[in-house]
Amino acid sequence: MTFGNPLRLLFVRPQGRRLEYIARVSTVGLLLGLAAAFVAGALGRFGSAAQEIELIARQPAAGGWSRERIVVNQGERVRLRIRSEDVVHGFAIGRLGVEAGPIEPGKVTTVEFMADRAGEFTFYCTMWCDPNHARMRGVLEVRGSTQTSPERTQAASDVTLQHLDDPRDAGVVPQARPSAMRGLPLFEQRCAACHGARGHGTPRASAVGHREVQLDRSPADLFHMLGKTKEQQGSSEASGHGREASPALRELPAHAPFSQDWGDQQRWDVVASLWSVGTTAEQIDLGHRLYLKNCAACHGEQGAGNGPGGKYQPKTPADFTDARRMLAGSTALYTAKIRRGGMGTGMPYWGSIFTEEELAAVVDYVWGFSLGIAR
Amino acid sequence: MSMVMAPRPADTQKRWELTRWPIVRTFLRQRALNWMATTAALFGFLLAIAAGLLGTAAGSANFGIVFVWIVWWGLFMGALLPLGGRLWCFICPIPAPGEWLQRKSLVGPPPSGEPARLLSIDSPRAPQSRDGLSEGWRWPKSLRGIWLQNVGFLGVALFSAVILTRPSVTGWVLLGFLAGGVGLAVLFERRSFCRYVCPVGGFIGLYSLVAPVELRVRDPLVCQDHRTKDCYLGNEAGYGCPWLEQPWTMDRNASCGLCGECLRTCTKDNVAVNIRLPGSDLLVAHGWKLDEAYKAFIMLACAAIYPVVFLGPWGRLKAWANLDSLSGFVIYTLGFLVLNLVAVPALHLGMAALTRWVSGLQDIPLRPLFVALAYALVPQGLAAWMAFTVSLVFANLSYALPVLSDPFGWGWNLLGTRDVAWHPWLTAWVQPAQAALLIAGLVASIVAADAILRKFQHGRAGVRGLAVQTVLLTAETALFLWLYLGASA
Repeated sequence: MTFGNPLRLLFVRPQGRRLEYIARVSTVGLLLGLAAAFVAGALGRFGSAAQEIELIARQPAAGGWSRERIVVNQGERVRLRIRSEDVVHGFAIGRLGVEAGPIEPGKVTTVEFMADRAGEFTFYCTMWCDPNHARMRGVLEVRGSTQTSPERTQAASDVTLQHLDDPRDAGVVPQARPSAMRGLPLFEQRCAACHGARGHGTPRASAVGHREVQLDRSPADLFHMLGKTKEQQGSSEASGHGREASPALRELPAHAPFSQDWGDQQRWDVVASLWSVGTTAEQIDLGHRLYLKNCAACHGEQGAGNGPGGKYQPKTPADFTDARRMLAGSTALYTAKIRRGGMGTGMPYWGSIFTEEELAAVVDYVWGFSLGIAR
Repeated sequence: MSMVMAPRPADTQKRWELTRWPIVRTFLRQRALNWMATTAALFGFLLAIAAGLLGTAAGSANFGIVFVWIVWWGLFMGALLPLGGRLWCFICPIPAPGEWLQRKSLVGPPPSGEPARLLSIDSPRAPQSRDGLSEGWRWPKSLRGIWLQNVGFLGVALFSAVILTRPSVTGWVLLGFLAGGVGLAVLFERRSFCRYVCPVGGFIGLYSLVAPVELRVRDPLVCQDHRTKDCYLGNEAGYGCPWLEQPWTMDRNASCGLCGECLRTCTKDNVAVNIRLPGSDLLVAHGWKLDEAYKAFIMLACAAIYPVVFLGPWGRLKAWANLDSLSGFVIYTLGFLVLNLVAVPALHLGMAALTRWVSGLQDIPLRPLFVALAYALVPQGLAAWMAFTVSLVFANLSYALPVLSDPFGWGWNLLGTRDVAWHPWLTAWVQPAQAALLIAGLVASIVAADAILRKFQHGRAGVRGLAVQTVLLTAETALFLWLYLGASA
């Protein structure tokens, strides 16, 4: 077997064999053309002005997103071409407001955006696609000189955060779901004179209708406050229901003189009205949309903890209609839990995805399952 | 072995010769024809390897998966194989680089004036290797036949759920085929790889027996008087048969790669390409071999396994075949091998024994009857594979358009078709087409079984034997109909 010089085979014209020569040149040209096209393509010469990134969605059991981290530069226009290899997925980037809608198998879904804020943003699947759907996340890193730090407009007290996973018990629950619609006239009749028509406060009494005021207080605290007598001021017992007063309740003034002819249900209705004036219809609508998209699969559309995804989680999802438990928590506590996640329960963390406004909206919406907040 | 071998006897089968027209003959004799076909295919093949190894992991967006397992497979199984037999082997790029090395030429013909024709057919080296980049060893006698191809096909079929869905695996497998083709061409004579090793070549050879196209000598007596055997040894017009066939004895399609070299080298103008009745090669009794019979069983068993794994609703089986867990894959492997190598052959052995008994053929050994009746499965198996292909291709062919524009899945849009959405085609016709194919395959298989049994037995006893075979073939077709129209629907 003699190999000779391979280059000679390719480039030296065989004598009297024109066809052979043409064939050799064409074959080599074709193969070099293929290689050149590949290299050119790989170097992005076929690309467009926007940085185009291919992203493949697979169920988490099959690997999840094809890229766990996407890095772009600040100021770049980014075009994501997303396709699913199995079931219908969704795509959104938290805190950037980028959303691609359903990613149907076999179709290419394109979403384009300007990466104008530097920082790290979580992208995630927005369709319940798999028992481990919540793990289907990745990070978009926008490199730039001005890093965006996550905004934190509200913060829970240290006490609240320390007791994030403590068992909660309101001690007393309403006979029927509280109604802000019923409570608002009572509030206007008895409370508005001091606290203002919308609970925003007057020189005579503090604001009670602000979200910030309610932050560390549970509805149960407010309920007990409404039944609190002057004798109970500073006591460790809460309004005669045998429940130990929370630190927040101990600080609250006695209000029994103003509500002495109200039954328990009326007091709960007034509490519901206070939570209601602390939010807005737009906020509730936003919370509703976010809840349906991100929470309902496990917690159920009606918040009863019976969504189809719940059975795959290590612990049964929280039942937001369980008033005894829910009404003992505070807005700050629920915000912190959603932000942090369930720590072993299967509940994912949302702090890197939701903005503070979105977090607040989801909490306000969730209150509605136990408090009957009016829009 | 003498240089002059007995030519095949002239048969009386009706043929319609395509090469009687000068324009067809001239066209098929063009030396550049093979090079153009294989080079174009090689371009696509290398693109498929590159896309598989370097492109997107999404199979539906990767040229390697879409063009090999959907476009090529659909074209191959839907048209090239049933209509052209080994026509794909004429185009196939896998042996091309090795053959170019062997010949030190892309087009040829061999340099004139070299004494190719003086070399004996029994020379330890193939005559055309004397100047090429090949050792030119003869293929070991113990490895001849298609047993190696059976093993290779079983290996590919066993891992098909992995190969067909993972572009990188497809890339490595195709690269392995190419390396095998080149490596064996450098060591062994001519197309030993195609004839004895290629996992695809084995079943192409078997199913080419039913193709309506053949290449044959016009008059075997002309060959008997022709001493130089240019068609085997080559001459200035072309190379000796790359497939190691001796055209003057050739009466089956199984090992003819339709390369056309003998058309070019025959100095007696005695080689023709014919259209003939499909399936006539099934009845060539001296071609009935156990390795081909096993190939028929393997193809039939795999034709049942593929719709179960790829189309059926049995998720656990899919997961096993997809290598989701080692233990599951071991179970799948055992089931796969037992079905292919034991259960299906044993069923047919039992039915052959029953056929022998009811036909009163006890004086004939069971083995030749068992082997012969396996050839009746060829039309049925081919029809079942075509039915599977209908499901695969109609559902997925629309992936081809975006992949043409973006073969690597990197976001290119070369032809402006990148964003064409997937949609299944002709969905209303899939099941009727599958049913029609399966029933046509059943009828053809029964006809073949009848013709095969007539070689052993005539009269009422033969009818009883045919009844047994008809029951078996009908039951198998019923299973396929259930798989395609029932379980997968």
